[in-house]
Amino acid sequence: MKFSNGKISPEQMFVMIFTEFTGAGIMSAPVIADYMCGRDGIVAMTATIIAALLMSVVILNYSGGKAFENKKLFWFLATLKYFIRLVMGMVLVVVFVKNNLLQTGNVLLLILPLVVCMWYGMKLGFEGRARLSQITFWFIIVAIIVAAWKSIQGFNRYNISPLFITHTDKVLLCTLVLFLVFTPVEMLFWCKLRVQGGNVRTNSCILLAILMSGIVSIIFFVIAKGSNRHFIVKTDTVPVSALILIVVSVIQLIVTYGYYVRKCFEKCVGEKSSFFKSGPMVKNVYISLLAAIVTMIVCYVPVSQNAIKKMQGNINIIQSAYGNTDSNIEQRSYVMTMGVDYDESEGFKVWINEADNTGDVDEDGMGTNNNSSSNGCDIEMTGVKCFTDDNIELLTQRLKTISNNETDFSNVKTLVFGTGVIRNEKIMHILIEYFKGFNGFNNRCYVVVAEDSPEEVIASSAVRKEFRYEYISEMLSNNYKKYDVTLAEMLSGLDGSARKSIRCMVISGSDGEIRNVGSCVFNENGSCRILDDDTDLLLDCIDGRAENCVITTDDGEMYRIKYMDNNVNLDIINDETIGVHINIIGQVKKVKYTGEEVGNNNTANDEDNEEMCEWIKYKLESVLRSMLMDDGIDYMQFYNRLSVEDRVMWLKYRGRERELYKHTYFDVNCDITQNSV
Amino acid sequence: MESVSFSFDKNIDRLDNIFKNCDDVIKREFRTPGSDKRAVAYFVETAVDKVTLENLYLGVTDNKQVYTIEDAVSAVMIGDAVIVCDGKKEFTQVKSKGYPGRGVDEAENEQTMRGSREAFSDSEKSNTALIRKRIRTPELKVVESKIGDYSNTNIAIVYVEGMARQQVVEEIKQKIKGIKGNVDSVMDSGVVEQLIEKRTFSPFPQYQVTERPDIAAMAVMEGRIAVIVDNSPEALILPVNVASFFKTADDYYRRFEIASFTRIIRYVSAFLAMALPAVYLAVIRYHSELLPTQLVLAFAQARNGVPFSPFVEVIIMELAFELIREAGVRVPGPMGSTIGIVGGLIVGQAAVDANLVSPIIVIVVALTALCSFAVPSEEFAAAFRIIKYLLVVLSALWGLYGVMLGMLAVLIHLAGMECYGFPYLAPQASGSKEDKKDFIIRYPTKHLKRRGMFFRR
Repeated sequence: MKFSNGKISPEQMFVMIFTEFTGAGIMSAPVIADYMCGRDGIVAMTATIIAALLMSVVILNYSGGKAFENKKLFWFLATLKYFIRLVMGMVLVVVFVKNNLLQTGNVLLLILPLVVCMWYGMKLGFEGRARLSQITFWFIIVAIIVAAWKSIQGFNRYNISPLFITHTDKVLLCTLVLFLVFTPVEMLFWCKLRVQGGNVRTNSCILLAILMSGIVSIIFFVIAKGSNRHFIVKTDTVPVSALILIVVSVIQLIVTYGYYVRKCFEKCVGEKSSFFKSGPMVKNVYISLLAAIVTMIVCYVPVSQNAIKKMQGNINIIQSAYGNTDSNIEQRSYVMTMGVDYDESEGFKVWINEADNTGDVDEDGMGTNNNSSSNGCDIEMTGVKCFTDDNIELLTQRLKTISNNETDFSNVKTLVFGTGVIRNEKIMHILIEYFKGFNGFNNRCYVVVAEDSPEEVIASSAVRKEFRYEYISEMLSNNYKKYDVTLAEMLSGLDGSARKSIRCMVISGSDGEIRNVGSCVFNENGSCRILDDDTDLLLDCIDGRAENCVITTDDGEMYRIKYMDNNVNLDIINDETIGVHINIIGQVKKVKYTGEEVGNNNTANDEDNEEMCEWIKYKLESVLRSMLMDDGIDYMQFYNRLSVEDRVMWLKYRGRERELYKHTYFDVNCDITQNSV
Repeated sequence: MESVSFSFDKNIDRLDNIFKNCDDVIKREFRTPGSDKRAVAYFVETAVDKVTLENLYLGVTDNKQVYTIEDAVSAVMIGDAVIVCDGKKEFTQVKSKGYPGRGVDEAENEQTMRGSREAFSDSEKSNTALIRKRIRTPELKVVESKIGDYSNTNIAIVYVEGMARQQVVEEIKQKIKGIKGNVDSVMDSGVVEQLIEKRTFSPFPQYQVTERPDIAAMAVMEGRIAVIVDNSPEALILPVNVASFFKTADDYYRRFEIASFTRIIRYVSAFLAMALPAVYLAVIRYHSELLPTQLVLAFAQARNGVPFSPFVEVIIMELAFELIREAGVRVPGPMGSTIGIVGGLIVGQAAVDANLVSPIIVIVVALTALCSFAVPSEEFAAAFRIIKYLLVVLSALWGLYGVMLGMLAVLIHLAGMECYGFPYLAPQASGSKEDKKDFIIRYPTKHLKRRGMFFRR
């Protein structure tokens, strides 16, 4: 073990550089890159890392750190830059916390304790900070893995490709900006002067740390773009801080390389310049700290404006979702089901059904007196409440006023849309904007469409189940297929950013009995197409959801597919034809008209399979084409696939997807692979 | 220093004057065997046993010469006998067994499933002997000195020469030297600990305390130093790091799998002892979305009718538990179980029945208490007990963000701490790969080939 001697080991220096740069890098570099050149930010970031590595190699190998020792201006700039970056990181952390953990918190009150913590940390000295980095390193790694794992689930490669579509000038400018914001000159020399051990090892550790932190930032950028997640903080602080950092970096680089200029100058003139004189380091620290605080105040202004906007946005039903509340747990009402509909005459209608948490406490004091089943515990409900208003913001206020407790939407199991909402593009967009304003509804829930009033669906059962599956089973009289999506996924489909169509259940209750009557698919404009049975079934074949479904061919033969898995490939044949290859893997059985299986050995033979494939080919071609033509519903994500697989054609039709769709035909091929159960 | 006079009477007068009103100091006159000269023995009544006295008269005693009055008085005070002989310009100090004390008992606070049952006693001499018994080499050095202007307490620094870093040994010697003349009396090693620690205002202990000679011997063999104070049944071990407080003797006596597993449990326990109430408070107050629906509703129902906020509830219950713990320590042994029953069952159950607190918080506090007891070092666990309240306050203010800030502050504090030049967070921070083999996971003994992390390099 290293005995305290004011020096750090190369390994400590590695984790120190990694943690200090990764923290700020993850939170701000992707934002800058995304803002300046979209998905091509990955190119800019990669170029930045290469440039930073090259610069580090040059400095480490050719200057040896001597050029910067005791140079007052250099150290001042280095310290200033360090603090500004620190402040930027702190502001980003606080905005991140405010957006995700404490929406009701005040930015200034959140940042103050962090500043105190950082001040305490700065007192540690170099060795102490290195030790702290060694501990926090693992926390950062774990946090990165968790965040990456969480985000990668919704990853879609079409969101990050193709590359090289942004103008080269923009990419170069972005590279320059990133380079200036994250130039690690000061870290190189702070570390270099305090590291014990061999020079080669030290240099390797420095370069490895820069490379690793760069790679992690790129990974985060890719994940964030690919999954359309907004966990990367977007705030006006980043451009402000970046601007200041760029100015400081430029001066720093001038000073850094000015050493060599001065040397040349001295050789030529023969006099020593009095410009660079050594000075006490401590003074620099305090001056830099002061400058950093001024920066923080400058940065706070846009943040606070953001916060005000956000607080204004909070005044709606959805904004109060996700439990970001400071009331006690028993003083909240937990919404289990929520319905939204719109009527021209009455305006918005919102129904909520809350869990009854005021029931008697049983003998052990730990729960309700309800019966528990093996599939989950029953939850007593309070009954449906309805709120109506023209303005959704006023509606939210009324909801808050009427409800005795603070409403907590973080446990919503089912969200029911009325057709009045989903068939009205404008209203749907208003709702989407509200939904976008909060972090909620990332929990998986059932998003369903009610053909009639959502109220009947919501009120269909007094007792709800804990698990989503049980819940919806109870709601419906039969066991139909269920589309278990997150609201976030649905929103990303609806706003077109992911260009992904989302399917929901359609529930009808007009005859007094609530049942699933089919499904619908949203297009990117927010409107909805209710699917007929055949279309529903065929899309299930593509989705791989068609387990235990029954297909009736035009010849009247009925087939049941069991335990189906599928493999769908899409080929871009030319600009008029798309090849769709579906391989259904499962057990196909012939059944009677009554739905019963025919005989004991009723597995479909090759002829039967061929017949079923023909039916799928014929139907699916027309279904896909009509969906693209009529509604612009890109169910196969054809346009996104095109962007990757045929870049020339994608560029040709860029921004004119509908024009492309009109000329497109589908050449569907279907195979069935019988699989034993 | 006042030299011994050639005059027998003058010496007697001087000593009589010093021991005036000290009725426990016995003065016994006799004639020396053989030469038949006048002699007077001074000794503390119970410190010198009959055998020593008989040998004293017979002249067959283990003795040494004393040339000053101060040394003679000091010899009497430490429990030896001093003989003043006519015609001699020096006194004779006769070694005795010293003051009465406990024998070697069984360890009470650091019990193990395997290994020695011996514990340190109150005598510094026997304590150093217990270490010597385990490390029988002349390289084991025992450097004695005295501290306390009035108490003249013996203090011994025990280390293995060649293993302990000399710089650390010297620093400890200097610190102990610094105590001399600044303190009237030292009654226990705890006083020494507080007098020589570097970070006075840190809640974390900077010395490991043990009542087990095998632990002390193991520490000494790691290159660390044991400080043994007379009248104290515990040895101070230094330098320390965080890992030192999570190790027990059992870890080395049992197989590595179970030793590693129990160590992991201890680390997790330490975290929970510090953060569980704060995390509970944060989750139910700010982040209930983290909980499954059924659990949220169970928590909400359990809290129905409780008049206090969760913060007050946590504070009340934690303080109540501290009360029970303090009372349990103070009450006589046989009544200890009564306190447990009264505190745990009656008060807890009654508080829940009276709707003063929710049953959940009783579980949280009980679990926190259990976790704090799982940390082997009571001093170290006590630091977590204090920090727990800070985290609870931060959690009430800012939820999990507050808890994270608090933890960060604790980490920063620990990162800045050093114990005699060794980082407190070692071996995770500043440690080598070899050092980490005996950190959270204890490698099989065969793989622990290198000496301890404190070994002089």
